[in-house]
Amino acid sequence: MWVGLKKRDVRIIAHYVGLLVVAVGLTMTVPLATAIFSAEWDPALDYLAGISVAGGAGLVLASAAPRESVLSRQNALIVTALTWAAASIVGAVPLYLSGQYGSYLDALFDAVSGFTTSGLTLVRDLDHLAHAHNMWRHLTHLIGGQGIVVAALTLAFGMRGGGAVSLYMAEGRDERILPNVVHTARFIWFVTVVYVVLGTTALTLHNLLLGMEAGRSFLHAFWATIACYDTGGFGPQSQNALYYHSPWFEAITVVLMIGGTLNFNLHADIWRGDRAELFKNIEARTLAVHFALLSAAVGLGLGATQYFSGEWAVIRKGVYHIFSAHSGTGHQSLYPSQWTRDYGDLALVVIILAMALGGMASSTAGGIKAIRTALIGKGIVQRVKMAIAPQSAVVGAKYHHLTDVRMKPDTLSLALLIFALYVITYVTGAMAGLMYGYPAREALFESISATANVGLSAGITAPSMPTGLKWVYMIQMWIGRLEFIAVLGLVASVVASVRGRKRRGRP
Amino acid sequence: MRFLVAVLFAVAVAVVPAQAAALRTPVTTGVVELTGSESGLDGETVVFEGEVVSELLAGGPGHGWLNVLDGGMALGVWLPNEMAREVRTFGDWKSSGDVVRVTGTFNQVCAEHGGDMDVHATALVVLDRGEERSRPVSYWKFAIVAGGALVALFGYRRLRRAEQEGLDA
Amino acid sequence: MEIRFHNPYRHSVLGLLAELTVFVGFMAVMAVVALVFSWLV
Repeated sequence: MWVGLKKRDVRIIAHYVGLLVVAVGLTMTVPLATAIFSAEWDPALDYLAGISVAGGAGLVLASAAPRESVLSRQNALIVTALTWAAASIVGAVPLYLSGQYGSYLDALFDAVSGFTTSGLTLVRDLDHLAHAHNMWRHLTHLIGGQGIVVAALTLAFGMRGGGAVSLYMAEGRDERILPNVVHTARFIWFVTVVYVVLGTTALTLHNLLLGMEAGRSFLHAFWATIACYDTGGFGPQSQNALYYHSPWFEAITVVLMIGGTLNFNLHADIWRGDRAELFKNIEARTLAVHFALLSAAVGLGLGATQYFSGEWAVIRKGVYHIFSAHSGTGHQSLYPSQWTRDYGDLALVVIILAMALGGMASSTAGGIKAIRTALIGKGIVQRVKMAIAPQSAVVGAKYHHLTDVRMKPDTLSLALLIFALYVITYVTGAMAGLMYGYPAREALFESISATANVGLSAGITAPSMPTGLKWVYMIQMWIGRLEFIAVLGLVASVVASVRGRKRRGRP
Repeated sequence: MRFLVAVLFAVAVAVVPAQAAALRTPVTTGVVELTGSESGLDGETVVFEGEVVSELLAGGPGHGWLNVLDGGMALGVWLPNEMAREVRTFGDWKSSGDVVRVTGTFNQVCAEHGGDMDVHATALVVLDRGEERSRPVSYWKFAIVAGGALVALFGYRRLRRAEQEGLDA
Repeated sequence: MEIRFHNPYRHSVLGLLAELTVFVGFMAVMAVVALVFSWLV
């Protein structure tokens, strides 16, 4: 039974999307302030224009329905999907006005990449980009990264009588969240603020020691902190992480990456006193196992290469990139072409796997996510037990995720479905790359990087990329960030509405 | 006597291949070729030109890092601080940087620097001085600001009306 | 889970310290694992 949208629904959806677009416009005051402080007058105008456009578009949309219209479950899903698209559309305006993007589409690509905390970029001449524009690019990571949680929790709270929003659908439901939604949301912001302050301070000191001038030290530190804690991947220089040539930079940012890939609820639990949760939590354990296997494999892979077999290279090019890939951050200290030429086949596959698997659920990481690999693993064990147990035996499985949970069949099947959808998307995106003539390894690498919102690039992502492929990656970033259901729900609703109207049109 | 000198020279060249490489003429190339990872110039002496961007970063005692941009790609150049002092203007939004010609050993995966791709410079020549870029304000953008503001006003009033009338009006 | 704080930030500070310590320790262990395996080849 496909339920289409009525006019009323469309207006309510427009209302909420409009409000969020206005909110995005308000956040542009930060790059505006940056421009003014840096005496970057033309960029300041870009952001004035951006605020104006966002305000205009947002208010017109919001005027479709009065405040406090109730969101049904279906509408909430569609609002989620459309907000990301709408935010990107207005967010691209100041970037396009900067003149450093080949087209509005390129600017839109970067906006989508920013908000989805991916990190692939089509910017031109990044080393000459104004502070204001760098501020906005990195701020989109913060908004998109933190925005997920806040929006999800607020929407879940605001929906009376509806289910929780899609972001929580795919994991073992956290019952304790709904009653304490506002409290938890506030705590998550608190954790973020602390990490951002700590990271920025540490990196500012680092940058000063590296010889950077005070203003740049701070800006670079703030940007790198957000890029890593929100597992985004943008950087202010064209060489990305390689610019600094600094193991300390890499170490500090990896700490931030790990912090960023942790489930927000896990942070909340640990910071409210349950420190043991860090070791009992199934996602933490799963990730630990993943990392151990991936690190071992990358060691094997790099050790066999001609170039990267030195000890420091194994750590700084191997383990560093495992953390960057698996957390979904996407900072890289290699030139794109090195992945397929110097890195060795085994190590390349390990990185691809790390990207594909992803971090924890309810974090800014992307990919299949640890809770699902954990559930699927448990599911396999359970199936084997069932196969060898007597017919009448009942075999259950349980795990610890904030509380002790019994694995329900529904939970497992949903995890498998999303897992399948990720794999299908990875492969489809790779095939798109192949159809445009790119080699297989690069096509697969880039497709997974986009879908899992990682941001490492093997070289395909460039302003000269075919337009069709830009669209493919943008859609992959969007659909991957929302874990499919929201976007598919949007498509299904639209199709059902169109069909419904056609049917009604017949006499 | 000459024979002895020739033999000693041949032995020296055979025993110290690195010195022999330096005796060969440096290969003129570009940053794009080098960072493309297929140049085949690993360990060779290269010469390339580009704009110095951002700043001089610390690179261990007495040394620093310059980043040279050419053809849209930037490459890190590790060099003694005295050599780096030649560079006065660094490229950023406000100005274009000095254009330099770097001569040095190219390392595709530098063992000394944890696997970074870099060039260890042996010579740096400033070819052209960087200058401040004029970044004029594009006044036509004010039209967008104005247009957006008008639309926002219209939208706001419509929103107010919607609230008074309610959703199902 | 009800939690009453005498000092509401005490748990947060300890939690943060625990996290940072575990993160850094974990990074070190992974580096060692990778190194050991690279030597095997």
